[in-house]
Amino acid sequence: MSDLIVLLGWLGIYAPVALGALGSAIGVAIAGQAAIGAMLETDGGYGRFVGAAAIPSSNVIYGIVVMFALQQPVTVQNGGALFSIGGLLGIALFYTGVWQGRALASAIAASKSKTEIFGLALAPAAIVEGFAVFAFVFALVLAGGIA
Amino acid sequence: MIWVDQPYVTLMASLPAIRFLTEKEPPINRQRLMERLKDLPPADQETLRELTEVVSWRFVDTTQDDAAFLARAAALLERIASPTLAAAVRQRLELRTVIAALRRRHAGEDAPPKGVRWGFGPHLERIRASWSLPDLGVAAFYPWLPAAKEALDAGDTVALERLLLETAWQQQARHAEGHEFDFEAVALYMLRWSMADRWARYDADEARRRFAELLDAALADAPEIPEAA
Repeated sequence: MSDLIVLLGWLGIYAPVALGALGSAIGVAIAGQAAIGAMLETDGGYGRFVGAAAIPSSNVIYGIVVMFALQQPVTVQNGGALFSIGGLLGIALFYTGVWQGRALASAIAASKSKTEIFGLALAPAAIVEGFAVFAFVFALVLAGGIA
Repeated sequence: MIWVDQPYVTLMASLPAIRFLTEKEPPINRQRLMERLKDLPPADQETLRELTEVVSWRFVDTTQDDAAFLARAAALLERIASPTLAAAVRQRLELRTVIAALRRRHAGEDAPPKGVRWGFGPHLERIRASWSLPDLGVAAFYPWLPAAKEALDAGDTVALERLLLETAWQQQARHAEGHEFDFEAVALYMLRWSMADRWARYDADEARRRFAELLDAALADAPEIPEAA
């Protein structure tokens, strides 16, 4: 049983990076494909489409930071806490990355023919980013309390 | 899930928004649209082709009888895996059935004989039985019907065409909700494009006809110009 708890502890330490990277990769891929599509239909402003498509990249960075905060010798006492914090943050980063990619794809698709709405169209993606930041910050707070 | 629908993300993002009835022509021409659709898997392209052929008036073969067309539509509905697309096709065929009934009655035809397949939808028998009623007994199911009848009775073909396309457009828009980057989104875009294209063509044809009428009226009063010797 204690081995399992230690194993879960290690999973918890690496989960934010692994799941954050997955979320970022899928999110950037979705938004990036929308950016490529939008480029076919527009004569300029490609940079902002590509820039917007890169926004979900932040999720893996949050995961890396939390991984360093969680990194410590794994014991039976701290294994459960490491797994819970890291695992749940990983899931949060994964989902926010994917859905941020969707929100960005919609923003890019909508603003290609109506450029003036580009900033406003990014708002849903920015709000999703806010939720990822909440999960990140409070994971850091809790990580500081693990004995 | 979005990550298995990715072939459609690039395609949908590359298609311009269509603002129905406010533009003189669709924002993307047929040739460019077909070029973009070539990126779809062959099975999707085939479904799109069949869908367009059943739903768009442009492809309706007037020499084909109703039963043959309805059999084709039923076969397509059986093959379509998406409930959203199937519902969109059904609704469109129902609209076409009701307006066909209105037109047939307006032309003085009798109600279709019992047992003959003449339309599509759940209210065929009710329409047949209520043939003499102004609203064919189905206005409660089709709120646009009284306005359509009024336009038909007045001979205002432009208003009727506009009303039908607007109704179909709103129906398609409702089906498109929640579908942004999947096959349903592509198919419903294609159907909306067909409507915009039809309206643009109709508008141009109507303008040509009206111009010819005005020209004839103006020339009727013009003095004869003697031919040069």
